[in-house]
Amino acid sequence: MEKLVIAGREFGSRLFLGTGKFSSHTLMQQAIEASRTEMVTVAMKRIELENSNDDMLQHILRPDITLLPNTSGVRNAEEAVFAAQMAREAFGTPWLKLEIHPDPRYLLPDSVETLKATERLVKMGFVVLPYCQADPTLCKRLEEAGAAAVMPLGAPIGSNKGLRTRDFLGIIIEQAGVPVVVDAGIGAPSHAAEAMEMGASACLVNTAIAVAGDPVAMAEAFASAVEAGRMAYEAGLGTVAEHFEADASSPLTAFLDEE
Amino acid sequence: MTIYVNNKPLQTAAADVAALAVEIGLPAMAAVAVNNRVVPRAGWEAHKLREGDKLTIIRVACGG
Repeated sequence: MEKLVIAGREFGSRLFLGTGKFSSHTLMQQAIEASRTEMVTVAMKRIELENSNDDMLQHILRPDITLLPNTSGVRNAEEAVFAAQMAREAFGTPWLKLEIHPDPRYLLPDSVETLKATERLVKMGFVVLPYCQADPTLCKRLEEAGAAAVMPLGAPIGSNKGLRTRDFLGIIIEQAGVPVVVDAGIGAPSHAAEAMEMGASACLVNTAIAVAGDPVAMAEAFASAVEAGRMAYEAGLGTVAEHFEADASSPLTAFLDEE
Repeated sequence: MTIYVNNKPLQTAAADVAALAVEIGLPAMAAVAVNNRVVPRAGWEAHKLREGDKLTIIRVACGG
């Protein structure tokens, strides 16, 4: 399999993992290991003075894993820039999953603010991976602004609905000059495989793994699906017939009747 | 003096951000802003705290 390269960094795995919603840190760590991921997203929160002990990071930090802090909770570009600076300080990395979704019901990204923030953050030296609408025009604009990758959504965050934006993802992939990471909505390994078969560079999965009956086994299933999908894309899928007639794959000699 | 940490009042004797970090047992991966300006870790000692300062302090959390 071809290696994924984002902003000059090579990734052996094309599955990115979110760390939300796991029932325990131990389970999260086991799922990260089973997924074989090399990129893990984390969020930020305000500390509580009464309760500042949380060993979450011990379960994530590994030399082969890149931390991708997100800006979840910000409502506009200005807040995103502040959050990005805080993230760079806290985690010592310029890598950033930019997400600006002010609407709490659908958590859909605000395209105008996302583009504004990307333009500013790139100039400030951040490696920006914006979570965005599956809008081909927007994705080109984000790329022109210097985004290291684009992360269009398949369906609303946590919905497990799959690639509801499939046709637009196809256009984005066709036009992109930077890696396309399908983020949000991927609810089953088959969805991830589908995105990869279409030529997506990677998938970011969180809820589907974290809330599965067995998150560790599901992480492994996603790892296999992403690999299979990518291999299929690189192998070149056969064309789909326009009609519904058969095209024999076995010789049609009637050998059973032959004397 | 009284300062505000994430909007909550805090009585502290810490003279600067570095001393405050020790006082409140700040975890390794955290970031501090004073009055909405990020203070880089290297500048924590030099950044003196004043009465009424408003601090934003964040740390890692689980998220997608």
